[in-house]
Amino acid sequence: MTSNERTPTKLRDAYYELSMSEGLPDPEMLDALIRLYPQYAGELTSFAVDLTVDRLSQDDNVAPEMLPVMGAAASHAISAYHNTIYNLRKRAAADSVAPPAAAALENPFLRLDRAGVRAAALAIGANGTFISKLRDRVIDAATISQGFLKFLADALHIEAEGLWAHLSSDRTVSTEGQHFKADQKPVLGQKQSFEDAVRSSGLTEEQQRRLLSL
Amino acid sequence: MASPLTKVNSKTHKVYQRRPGIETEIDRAVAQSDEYLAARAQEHDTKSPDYLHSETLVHLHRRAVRMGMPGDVFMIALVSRCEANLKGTIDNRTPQVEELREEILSEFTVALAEDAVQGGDDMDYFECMFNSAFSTLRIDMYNHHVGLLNKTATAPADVEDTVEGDIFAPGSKGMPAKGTWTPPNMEDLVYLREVLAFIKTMPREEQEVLVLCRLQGWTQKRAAEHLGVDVRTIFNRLERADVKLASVKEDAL
Repeated sequence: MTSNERTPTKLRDAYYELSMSEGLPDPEMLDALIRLYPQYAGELTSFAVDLTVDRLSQDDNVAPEMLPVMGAAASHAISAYHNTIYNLRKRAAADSVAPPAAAALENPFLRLDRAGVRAAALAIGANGTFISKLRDRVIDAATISQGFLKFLADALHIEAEGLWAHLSSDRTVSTEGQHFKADQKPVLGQKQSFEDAVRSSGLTEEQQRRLLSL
Repeated sequence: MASPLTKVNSKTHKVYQRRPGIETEIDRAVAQSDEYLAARAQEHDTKSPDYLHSETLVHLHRRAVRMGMPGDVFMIALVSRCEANLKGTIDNRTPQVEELREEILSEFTVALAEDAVQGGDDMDYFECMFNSAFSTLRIDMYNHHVGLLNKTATAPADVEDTVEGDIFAPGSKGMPAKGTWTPPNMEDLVYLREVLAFIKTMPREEQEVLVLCRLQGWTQKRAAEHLGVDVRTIFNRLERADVKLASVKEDAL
């Protein structure tokens, strides 16, 4: 639903998918959705909990489709409907088309909490260390293959262009929730090649071979 | 034959399907006159042969608007049903409850309008399982509403006054998807409701482990992976929650 800006569209879509099962939410569907949207692992698990409690606490005396009423809330909603229809049709009829806004450069990994990092690592067959290198742009983007880029974008369910823009930016260190004991700010080192990053992240031989083959 | 849905199930990778009864109802409805359908949309008796399920109303609305006809009669029928539903599922003690119900209904009608005019597939979920989809919208907006209220709470005393009992629990009394959940028996049901009401008063982290490990039957390892904590943490939370739950059981005896 495009009008709701509180919950990202993809997350809202995932919520709907989770609710499309009979009875309690399907754990396998939850797993599938977390693999698809690792950045929302926490939100999805939390929603599954809400949905479970909601369905278990249903009252048999409250029919899902009770006798209709038409109060102030309904009148307001109907008005919102008509305004939306009018505005959309007016916009569609307009001759001029607004130029698309430039996509904002953002770090797609900053949304990941601990569970999200773990899920993302699982999705690409790596570990948290490797995900941190991607997040902090430790890896020289020029050495990253298009195959891996597409694979990673698909796993994170984001556009490859946006991901490339992030990876090819200057290196940063995510300091959120971290403390430095040194008197001076941490100094950023040289970027690693993709192969070096894979080899030095504590991945298994099999994981390294797979990532380097993409 | 009704046009197929296009939303794809992320687990099965197959397109979502309407329930067979809904498919049949739509096929019959689209062959009927506009006047007759308008009358049927007003039918509230679920046992009447003229009654149209909400999934069918969503389909008829989309179809009408996309064919350049007004879909108001179907939209209004849906809104009135949803409003009645919200009155039965969101606790009246919820702060700013009228605003919340209005926001949920407006969110629904705006989505309905956008989907119909722009030709999206967001409403496929509502054609597939209307009550489940609407409960998802309700829970999401309820949680947002509660989050905002908590943010704007100015003093601890105020919070204490308003955040009481289970009125902040997601979904409050809950809105069932008709016929989708059958409790084992009535005794269990009575006890289950007591337990659930109590669970809603517990800290969020304890709610999560109880629901995942005790109600959904997950292993502690799996819950730990999903919640991003170690197994020992899950064990401790579960232990605390179990002790609290035991007190409810003792009270019930």
